[in-house]
This record gives sequence, C-alpha cells and structure tokens, in this order.
Amino acid sequence: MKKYLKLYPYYVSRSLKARLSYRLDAIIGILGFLIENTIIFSTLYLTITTIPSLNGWNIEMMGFLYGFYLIPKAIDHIFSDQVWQLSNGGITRGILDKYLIKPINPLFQLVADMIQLEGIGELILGIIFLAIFTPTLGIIWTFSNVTALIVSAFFAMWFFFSIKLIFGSLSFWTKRSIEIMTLMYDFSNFAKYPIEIFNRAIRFVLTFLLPFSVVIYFPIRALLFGGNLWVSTLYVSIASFLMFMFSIWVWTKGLKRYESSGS
Amino acid sequence: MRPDKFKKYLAFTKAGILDGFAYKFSAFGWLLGDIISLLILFFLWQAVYKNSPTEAINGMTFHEMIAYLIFARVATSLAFSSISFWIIGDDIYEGNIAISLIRPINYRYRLLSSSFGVFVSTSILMFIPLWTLSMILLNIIIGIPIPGIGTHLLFILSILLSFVIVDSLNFLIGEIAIFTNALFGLMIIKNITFAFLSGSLLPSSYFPDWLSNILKFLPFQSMIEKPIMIFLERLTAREIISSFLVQIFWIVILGFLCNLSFNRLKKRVVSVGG
Amino acid sequence: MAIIEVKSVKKVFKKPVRKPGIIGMFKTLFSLKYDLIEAVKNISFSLEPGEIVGYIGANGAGKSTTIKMMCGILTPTEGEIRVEGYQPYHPKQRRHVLNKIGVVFGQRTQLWWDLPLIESLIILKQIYDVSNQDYKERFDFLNKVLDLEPFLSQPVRTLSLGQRMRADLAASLIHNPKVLFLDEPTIGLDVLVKDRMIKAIKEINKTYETTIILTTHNMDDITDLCHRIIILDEGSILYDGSINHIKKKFGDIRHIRFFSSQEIDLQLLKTKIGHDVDVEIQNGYIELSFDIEKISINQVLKTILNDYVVDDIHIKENSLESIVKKIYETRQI
Repeated sequence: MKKYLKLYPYYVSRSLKARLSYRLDAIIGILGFLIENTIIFSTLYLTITTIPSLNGWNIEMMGFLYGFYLIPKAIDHIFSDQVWQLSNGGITRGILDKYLIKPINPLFQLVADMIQLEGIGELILGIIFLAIFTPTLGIIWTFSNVTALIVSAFFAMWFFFSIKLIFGSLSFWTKRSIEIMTLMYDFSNFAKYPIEIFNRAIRFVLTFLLPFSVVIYFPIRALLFGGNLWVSTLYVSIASFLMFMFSIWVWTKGLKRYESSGS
Repeated sequence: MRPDKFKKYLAFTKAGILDGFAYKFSAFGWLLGDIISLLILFFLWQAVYKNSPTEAINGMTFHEMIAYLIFARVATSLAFSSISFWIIGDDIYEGNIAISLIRPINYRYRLLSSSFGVFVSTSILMFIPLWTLSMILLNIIIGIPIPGIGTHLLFILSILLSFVIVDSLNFLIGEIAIFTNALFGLMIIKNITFAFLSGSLLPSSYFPDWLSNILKFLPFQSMIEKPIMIFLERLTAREIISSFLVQIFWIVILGFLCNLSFNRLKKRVVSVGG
Repeated sequence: MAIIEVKSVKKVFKKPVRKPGIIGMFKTLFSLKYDLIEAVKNISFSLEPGEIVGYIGANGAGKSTTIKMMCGILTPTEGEIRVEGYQPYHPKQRRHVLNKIGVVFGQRTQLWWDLPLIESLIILKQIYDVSNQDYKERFDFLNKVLDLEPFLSQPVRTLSLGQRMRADLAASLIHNPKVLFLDEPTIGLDVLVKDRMIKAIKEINKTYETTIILTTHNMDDITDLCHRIIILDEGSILYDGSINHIKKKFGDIRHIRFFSSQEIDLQLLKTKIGHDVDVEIQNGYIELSFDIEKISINQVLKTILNDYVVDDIHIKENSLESIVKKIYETRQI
C-alpha cells in the first residue's frame, strides 16, 4: 500500500508533463468540455425561465444541482480516463499485457497511466455554477452541511468511477464496450433533474439499479429543501461503496477471463 | 463537371455508402443515446408545461414541442452525418495530405462525395425507418398531421442543402487540425455549438432577441430548425423561399471559403512538408 | 537447477463460432457453440540459467502463447510452468516471478508513448524498487551497450523503429531480471540495427548471465545468438536441442544457383549429375541442392561447367532456415 502511495505521484507528474507539452491541445480539450456544458446549461436556462419553477425548482436551484453534478464527474474524468481505452478495443490491442508483467496491480496501472486534463473544463464550470448560484439560494452554510456535501461529492466520484469500470470491464467478454459505456454516461444526465418529473420505471432505475439520482440529486434536494443532509450522505456512501465493490468484482472476473482466453 | 470526373467522385460516394453500412453497430449505440436524450427531454418538457400557466409557450404546445424535438433529433442524425471533419483531420494528423495533393481530384469535392455516401447509407439505415416510425407514432398518439408530398419534397431538398452546409463547415473546422492534435476537443465544441445554434436542442423562439437577430443572417437555423418547420408546415411560402435563399447563399460563400482556405493549407503543406 | 521449467503444458482456446452477416451476428451473441483450438498441445522443456534459447515456429504455432504463459499473462489449461520455482500465472505466486523477468514484445512498446525514455526508466526504477546504485550501474551499462544517449530525452513517440526497440530492450533490463523474454524483437529492423541489437543481447548475457528466450522468424538472429533452439509446429515441439547438432545432421547440403542463357533441360541435368540432387528453376536461375556426402561438389561443378555456359553462379551451405524448412516438411528429426 505504501508503495502505491509513493508510486502514484510519479505517474501523475509524468502524465502531466506529457500532456502539458502540448499546451494548445490541452487548452482546446478543456475548452471543449467547458463550452459543451455551458451550452447545455444555457439550453436548460432558456427552458426553465419560461416558467415560474419546475416542481418547486427554480433555475438557480437547477444551476446549483448542475454544478454539483459536474464536480465528482469531472474529478473521475481527470483521474481514470484510461478506462475508456480498455473498452475501445484495448483488449484486442493487448494494452493489458504491459501491465500484467509488472509486479504491481494492473488496475492501479490502468488508472494511474493517464491524467486527462480535459476534465478540468467540467471542474471549473462546476465550481463556477456553485459560486454563482449559492448566494441566490439563501443556504445557511454550516460546518456540518459543507462537510456532508464534500463527503457526498467524494463518494459520488467513486460511484462514477465504478460505473465506468463495470461497463469498461464488459469488454473482457464482448471485446468492445465503448458504446455501452457512452450510453451509461448519457444515462447519468438524468441526475441533473428532479427525479419527481420522471415516471415510476425510470425513478426505480435511478434509485436502485443505476442510482445516479441517489448520489447527486438526493443530497442537493436535502440541502435545498431542508431534508436531513447526513442521511442522504449516508445513502450516497452506501450506494457508492456497493457499486465500487461490484466493479472490483467484475474487473477481477474479467481479468481472470483474459488470462484464460487471451486477446 | 465532365462525365469521367463525375465517375471518380461517384466511386468515393459508393465507398462512403459501404463505410456507412459497416458502422451500423456504433450507429445503433448512438441511436440508444438519442433515445435516452429524448426520454429526458420528454419528461422535462412534460414537467415544464405542467408548471406553465399557459398552454402554449413561445408559440408551441406541449405536443408540438415533442414533435419538434423528435423530428429535430432524427433529422440531426442525417443532416450532420458528414464525416469530412474526420477525414481531413485524420489526413492532416497522419500526414496524408501530401498524397491527396498529388491526385488529380479536387480534395474538397472528394470529401463531399465520401460524406454523401455516408449520407445515403444513413438515410437508408436510420433516417427513413426512424422518420417514418416517428411520423406514424406521433400521428397516432398525439395527432400530429402527416404532411403531403409537396411538403415532403421541400423538406428533403432543405435537408440536402443543409447537409452540404454542414459538410463545408466540417471541412473548414477540420482544417484547424493543422494547428492542433486535439481533434476530439474540436469535435465537441463544433457539435454542441452547431446543435444549439441550429435549433436541434431548442427552437429559436426560446432564444434571446440579440441571438435571434444575429442568427437570421447565419446558416445555422437553416440546418435543422427551418427544415423541421417546413415539414411541420409552420412556415409561410415567403419564409420557405427565404430559407432556401439563405441556404444557397451560404453554400456558395462556404464553398468559396473552403477552396480559399484549402489553397492556403496546400501551400503551407508543400513548404513545410507532409 | 533449471530456472524455467515447462511441464506437459497444454493450452486450449475457446473460440465462439462466428456466423457472417447481421443475422449471424445476433446468432453468435446468443449461441453457446465453441470451437476448441489447441494452441499448445503438450510441451515440456527446461532452461538453465544463462542459456540463450531460440524459439522458432510459424505464425500460430504457439510461440507467443507459450511466452505469455511463462510471463503469467495466460494460464495453461493443463500442466504447469515454473520460473525459479514459482508459477507466474498463479495469483499468489506471481509477484515472486514478475520482479525477475523482463519482456520485450516486438509488435508493441511497453514504454510510455508521450514520455522520453529517461522518464520511463525512472518510473520503472520505482516500480521494481531498484536501488540508486544498481540503477546507475545498469543505466550506464545499457547506455553504453545500446547507445541510448542520442535519443534519451526524446518522446518515445518520435523514435524510429530501431531506436524504439533499443529503448524497449533497455526498459526490460533496467531492473536486472534473471530472465528476458524477447518476442519478435528484430521484426522490421534494418540490418545494421539488428546487428547492434544482437551484439547488445550477447553482451548482456555474458555480463549478467541473463537467461534469454528469443522468438523470431529470422534465422540469422538465431544463428548469431543461440546455441539451442526449440522448434514449434502447430503446438508441439518438433525439435529441442543444439543448433550444431542439426547443422551437422542436415549440414552437408550444398545449394548451387546458376544462370545460363542457354535453354537447359532439367531432367537431362538431373540425369547427368545423379538422382540424389534436387533441381528446380526459380526466377530464371537453376537451383540445385544435394548432399556432399553423396555427390561430390567437384563432380557437380564439373558437369555444369562442361556442358553449359554459366553466366552467374552462387554456392551456399545449408542455412538454418532451409534446415528448419526441411524439418517442417519431413516432420522428423
């Protein structure tokens, strides 16, 4: 364990060095995600401002929710982007082989190998949204609710990572799973909206099967509408923990399969 | 264009059609992604209209909005099917531009032909079935009327012109690959900006005035919004004609810009090499 | 004590039966039918420390599969492999092996693509826990032997194939592994670079007694480096032994290639020289192969020169390549 803590900074610093040697590319990547989310939110803004509120959610609340959605997603995006390589034909290209012959955990290597600066675009925007919309919402910030939010965001980040790992690991069986991974990413968009607007089937999926709403929407709803923030934080941590354990299980099973059947 | 030259471009179109068919698996993935987006939009708008004091918002009822969004999404997959951005981006990245310059074919038209091939295969595989399905379902469930042949023809013409415009823009933006490797980032910016400005995400009646005014003179609205409005028979004859004029105007301008910028690019490639 | 032991190893792959077309694609997804492919049928061999072994076989013969099993990337279906007594594919034992092996896959690099070689080496030093002193010593040695200095600070992405292979070789050795696996390391390299690689490998083996297994198509590499070869064909070992031995056994063959502007009757030529000679025509040149134990070279040359006007002539001894070809053809040794 100590070894990995010592090793990780090396990976990070070298990955950063490599990415930053292409200054313009990094900037375009960051701008890409920044602009994309800005425009998507603008669309939401233009939509919501035609009505007084969406089931009690005005545009400032939607903005705050959006900001909170972006932050754990962004951090996961920055640190574990290499998992996409796995699902994009990485199995057949044998990218795992160079990990398997080294005396350190292959999953660690897969994750540590790339720092994706593009995610900073999402992160910056998330922080901006939180900063802009907080004053308009009259939230009383206490040490308790700030901590609860940070804890929720932290676990939500692991949740995003777990989903990515589960569907990326499917490529051990299907050779290529980037389409379904993209689909899951699209699915996470449901969490930007109050779950009450959806029908029962979708609400069920968002709460129990792919609980994106549990890790993003419920904490914010508790914060803004006076629910118990720590209870929802508890749910976030449980959902994330379970999803994470499941993802490790899928990965391990997949890796075993790779070792018995090759690429 | 002389007939033998035309045959050469046709060959690229044929190849484009086959390519389009080969990617049917990922096309299916995108389709599912579109379905999720439409689901979200459906519930969102349902809630918006429920919360609205008026039955119509910015000139559209809930049913009209749903019809608009579904048709817009299906049309987008066709109008934006051009792959010219990727062809020129890859060629620049791989250093194949030099080879293309040797060939006695206009590079720009070659890309257009290949993209048109993808356009054709997309029509057959995705557009026609989905459009027909949408028309029928929307008619049965919400009562959206199915327009006549005349409207259909106008719509098809409008989408064709829109495709050429999108292709030129793809070409122009793809040329930026000369300066950067970040094709993916460029694509994201390009796609979302086009989607927004073309009315694919939201009709322009929702845009603030200053934006609408600027867009009147730009080609974007004619890419998705105008064709859809033509199909939904919400435009007057005058507006339809003016839309076509705008499209033709921009096809000419953009075509000119493509050739101009590509000549400059050629010079740069020849002097710097590969 | 053998450093590597391969005992009765068998590797079977399950390949789903794929049907063409769209309907076929769906059928494949839901069917449970498999084809069983025996990539490695039943092989056994062992290596002593410091040996350099050439592992030859056609594509699909099972070479890469065996190497992957020895590295722990694949698990044998039956049998076992031990490297320094540990099974490299066993989840609990593999860490004893991984520290001690180095691998070069000719087709792909193990280095970080966007980083200079020197940066990759520094990370590897951390991964393998190489002490500062050992690192310096190894680095200086590898730098000298592979001439890394000129491109040490360039991103690996920008290196030529020859430079990249040398870089990969350095990376696989920086931690002083006991065993080095080279999977097609010279593929695509030009002659000069290949030569330097071979020399470097020899030097490494001499200085550090690294056990080396080399898979390749190129027979010249083997002849230069290896004393022992293992010939693999369709998953089974055809031959495992010293090169000298088979050279001696098949080595008395000579090949004569000559060109004459005259029309030459091959049958007549064969009758004149004797029936134990193989005659064929290739690219306008007549090619003769014969065993000098059976027909004297003097006799053959005399016959040719007496009866024909010879414009060009080459004489070669039996290359390892043709020996191996012969072994494949006759499937016997």
